[in-house]
Amino acid sequence: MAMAPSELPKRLPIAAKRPAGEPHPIIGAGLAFPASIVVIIVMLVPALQLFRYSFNRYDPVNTMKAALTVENYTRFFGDAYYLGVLGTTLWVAALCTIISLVVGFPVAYMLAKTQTRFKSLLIILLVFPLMVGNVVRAAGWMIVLGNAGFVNSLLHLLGLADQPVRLLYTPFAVILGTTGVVLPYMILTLQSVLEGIDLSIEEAARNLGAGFIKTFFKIVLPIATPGVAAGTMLVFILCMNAYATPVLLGGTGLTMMAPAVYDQIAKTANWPFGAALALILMVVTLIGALASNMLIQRGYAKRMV
Amino acid sequence: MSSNTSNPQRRRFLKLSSGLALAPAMGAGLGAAGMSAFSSSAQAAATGNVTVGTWGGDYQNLLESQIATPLLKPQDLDVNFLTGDAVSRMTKLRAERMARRPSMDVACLSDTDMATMNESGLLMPPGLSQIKNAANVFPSFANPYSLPHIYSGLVIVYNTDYIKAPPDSFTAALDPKFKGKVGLSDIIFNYCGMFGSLTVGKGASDMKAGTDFLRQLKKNAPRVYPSNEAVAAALKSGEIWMTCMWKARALQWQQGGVPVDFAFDKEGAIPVIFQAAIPKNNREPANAYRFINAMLDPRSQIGFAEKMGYAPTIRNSGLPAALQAKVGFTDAQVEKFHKLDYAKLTSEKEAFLQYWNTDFKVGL
Repeated sequence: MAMAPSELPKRLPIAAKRPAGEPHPIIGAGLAFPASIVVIIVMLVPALQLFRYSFNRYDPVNTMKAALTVENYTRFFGDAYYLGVLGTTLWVAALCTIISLVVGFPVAYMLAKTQTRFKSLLIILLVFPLMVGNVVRAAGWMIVLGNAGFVNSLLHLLGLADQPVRLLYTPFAVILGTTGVVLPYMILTLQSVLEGIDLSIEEAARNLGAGFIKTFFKIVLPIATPGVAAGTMLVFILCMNAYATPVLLGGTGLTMMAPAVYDQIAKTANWPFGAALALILMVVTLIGALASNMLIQRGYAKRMV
Repeated sequence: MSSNTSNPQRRRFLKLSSGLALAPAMGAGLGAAGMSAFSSSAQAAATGNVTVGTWGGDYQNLLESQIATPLLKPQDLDVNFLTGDAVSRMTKLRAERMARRPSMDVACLSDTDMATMNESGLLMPPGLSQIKNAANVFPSFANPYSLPHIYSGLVIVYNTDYIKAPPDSFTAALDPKFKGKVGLSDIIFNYCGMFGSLTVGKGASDMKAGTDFLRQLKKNAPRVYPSNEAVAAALKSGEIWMTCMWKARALQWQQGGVPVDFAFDKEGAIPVIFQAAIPKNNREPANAYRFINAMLDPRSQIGFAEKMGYAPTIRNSGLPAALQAKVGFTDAQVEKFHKLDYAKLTSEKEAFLQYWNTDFKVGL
């Protein structure tokens, strides 16, 4: 519809207040609105629903009865077993994150600095495991670590062990398998940050007499801190929520939170307690991730000032 | 959860649209009678759909290859499968109690889960007059809310390389000579408790007796594996020598080269019956009846026995004697199958899982 000439002057003064070329703020908010709705529906609504369910009472026949009780939370915090499961989840996630950082950093650094024409191939090789599901990768580890598996066969062949060494269904297997799952995420995150570091800064440090190690710790690592923070946060969250690897490789040797949630939901349809466990896992993961991010960023701020 | 066959609405659209495209050409050559015959057959095809909620994997493949394709497709009944684990489908049934467009016409579940669905008031008592083959169902498997499809029993499964004399009771697992050599599957945790109760002579529904048995067994350092397949791998490698498992599953392991055989506990066996029922809230009851009737057709029952190792639930299956001996049970054994107290088992399952997770499995 054509605009009436009388309407034009009313709008012009508002437009005149904005710097030239900058869109109206309402347009920006308006454009973000549909995406925000999707995010709220996809992420917030299920979390809120879980939150509500966690205050219901379990019913073996109909899954749950509407109630407002904190018994699911008191059950968790009053049971040494579930507190132990949370503790195990935290230390396994922290250890896997640290290992993937220590092991992944040199690889990411090499990838970022290499001039080889095979660089794309190396990155594809790194991404390749991500195309295979965690269950399949865990099945691979089962073949490698099982009593009749590759490692035990090798030990037997070399005469190093008469009896099979128990490797599968141990914390070692879970840490190995989980680290294997998250390592590509850590390397790719670090590599993208390391790519951005100006090589001339390192060369300047070397010119001024700093050795490789000193350059690494005084120059490269501080500049790469945002990448370390991002990678650590991402990997820590993935480790906290690991399901298939701890179930298939941990067995009774180690229980983590995600399998405990699954047990409640899938084995007895105890949604209220399962929801409480899921929320506790979510909150602890969030606190852990934010804490690690804050610690790293604070160190970064101190060094960069 | 996914429906893994082609979209029925798309199929219906294609059928109708191809009919419409052909109509002018046919109209030129055919009389009014011909046109009316064509349109009525198109209408019949358009209504020939049934959606079956089932497990994925072997069971669904066999529903397709033994029932849907050979028996129902020629009758112009399209079968769509809604696959998922039992708990997901049970949740769906509960959630769709009042839904305007329920997703399942037939629900396939094991006997314990089906009893829970019945207790929730979600199942329609089937009209047996509409299921011709229901007349041949073994009376011991019949119930008022579902039809039995196939069955097997929980038996002692042992590694023949290490155990030469078949044990006649699962109490053998308590023998110190089997220390560290008994394995259990985490997937069937509640059945392990039930089998413990059964083997000490307390019937199959006394979870208190089952818990006491497991407490004793724990002293013998049993192992718990995360899946049935992991139990099979442990039996094959000699890591464990004995477990309790469905006979049908043990047969599959045997065929896969695992050196195992099975023994019937002198106290009897626990049945697992895969059942089919019609949810109260369904869209195609007539087609649901047709599907269930085909499940009880001797031709399809033989297919399930051959390929999956489960025994027929009908008298007239005509199973070859060798196959019957392999997958079935003798009359004396069938008599010793325990009737389960489903309501009691459902109400005690949560407490038993708590014991299983926080006590039995800890430190094994």
